[in-house]
Amino acid sequence: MPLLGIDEYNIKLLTDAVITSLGALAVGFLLRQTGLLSLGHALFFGSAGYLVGISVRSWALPLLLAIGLALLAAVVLGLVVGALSVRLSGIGFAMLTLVFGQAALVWMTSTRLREHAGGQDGVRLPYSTELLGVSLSELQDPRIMWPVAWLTLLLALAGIILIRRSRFGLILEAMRENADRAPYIGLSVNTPRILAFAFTALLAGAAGILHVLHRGFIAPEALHWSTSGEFLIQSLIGGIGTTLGPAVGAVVLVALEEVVTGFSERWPTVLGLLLIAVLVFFPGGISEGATRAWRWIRRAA
Amino acid sequence: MAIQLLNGLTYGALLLSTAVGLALMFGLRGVVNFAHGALYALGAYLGYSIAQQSNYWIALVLAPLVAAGIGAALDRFILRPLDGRPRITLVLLTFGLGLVLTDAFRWIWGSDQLLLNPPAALAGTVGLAGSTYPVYRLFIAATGLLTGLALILLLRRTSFGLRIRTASAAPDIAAIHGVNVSAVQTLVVALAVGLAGLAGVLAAPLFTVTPDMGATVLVESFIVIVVGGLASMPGAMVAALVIGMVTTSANAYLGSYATLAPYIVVAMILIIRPHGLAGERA
Repeated sequence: MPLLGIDEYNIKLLTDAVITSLGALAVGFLLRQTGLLSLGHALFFGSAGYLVGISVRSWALPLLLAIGLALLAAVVLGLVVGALSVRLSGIGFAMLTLVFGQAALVWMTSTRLREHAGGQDGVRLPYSTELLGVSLSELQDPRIMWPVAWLTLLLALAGIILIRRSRFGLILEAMRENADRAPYIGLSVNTPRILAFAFTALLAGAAGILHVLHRGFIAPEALHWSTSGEFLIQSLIGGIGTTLGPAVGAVVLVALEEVVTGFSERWPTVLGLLLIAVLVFFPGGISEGATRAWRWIRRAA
Repeated sequence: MAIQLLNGLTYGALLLSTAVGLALMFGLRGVVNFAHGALYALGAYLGYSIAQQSNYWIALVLAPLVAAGIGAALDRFILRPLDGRPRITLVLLTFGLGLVLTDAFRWIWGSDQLLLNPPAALAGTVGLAGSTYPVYRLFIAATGLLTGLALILLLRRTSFGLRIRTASAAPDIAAIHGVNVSAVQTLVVALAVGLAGLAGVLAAPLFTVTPDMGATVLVESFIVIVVGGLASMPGAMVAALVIGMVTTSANAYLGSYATLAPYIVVAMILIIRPHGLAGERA
């Protein structure tokens, strides 16, 4: 992706938006394809970010190994939390994802881990960190980080599209539409859901890794339930009816946050009211609105 | 040991108030209220402000009543008009509401911790089992348990309780038999939010009042109703006391891993008895 002549401040903001959109895509894909509502994806986002920070800082592991470890951890955590949470369906599932997400926040900020996880201060990557000979500050330069974030986003989109077109994607939709009937045609109900959940945990984990690399540090907010809420709200405002909707929602909300925080401290209020407005008045989000507008234009033409 | 038990009882009594409301609301409305933590915090803030103007006892009575009024409004003006929508929409709506409320606390009362002192009559300590114990904690435990008892009597022994139970089990049939289901629903949501407000104003002198104080209580109340079996009220009561005990005794005996204790309990329950202590197999 070219820098498009955008100045450094805004390109960094857009990079953040692209990184966050990975989390929104994950949560939106889960809701659309499986009908499962997650309010706990901060767990994978934050844990992966923290693990990169802690392995580099406290365990002096090479960054590449730390990233591999964090991706693996996100998948394993996804499998465990998924396997526990699918034991309740519907709203129970959403409650459990929130509960287990909170467990991670509570543990990571506890005094025992303070030495490694830094308590409320979080973890800062050492300046000497390097990836295959590229130093951290070079890595954070928009000329590297911007295309890397985009590449990851495109990979994630490719993964989502492949799954949606596969037999596995069809099975997930069958579960969503009628989980009672699925066993009668020889399908296991929970295993596909757990696997889909772990896939979205991987996406959120990748976002967390990019987040800590881009910012150079990670703080407890990354694990907070409001981060999970943001992923969900971004995906709903963008609209989960299309593959790209959640990513669009993420970019729109990051831009809006930048504007609103410029003159007001009431961003959470705006976010909450926006969510309520979208739920009540525009359940399809931006993407459905755009689809309708496009049809209307074509008919008019 | 006796002290640990009492600490568990105190915290369990608070969780009982919040979790029973969640369970009642889930049973009657099919909605898990993600704003319940924020409404608990609202009770604490209202209690704080009312106590500033008058005294603690008036706050203890008024704050839950105001909260109950807000609950009735929540049901009438937000949940009722959207009744036909998917449950998940309503749940997300309460999540958005929680977000707005939490930010409103920052707006109105600021982000700093506020301190509400217990009234003079409950301020001291009392000799107990060879050591001293704060009177206020005993007061919380007693109030919580009395509330639980009153709720059991309300549900099992009054005609209103019968209406609640039938409206929860079979709303259509209840309506045929002349139960005004929508009025029952509104009253139950008011009761649930009033109980959350009561827990908040009770908790205010025990902890400090902060905008985020509801998050922990919300998550632990979720744990309670999952352990208890979602819509089961007796289940929620027993589970609240169990989780209260587990949380406080883990603090005393498990040291730094203590914070994870309630999460480990809920994980184990999910593996052994996924529908909770009182839940039936689906």
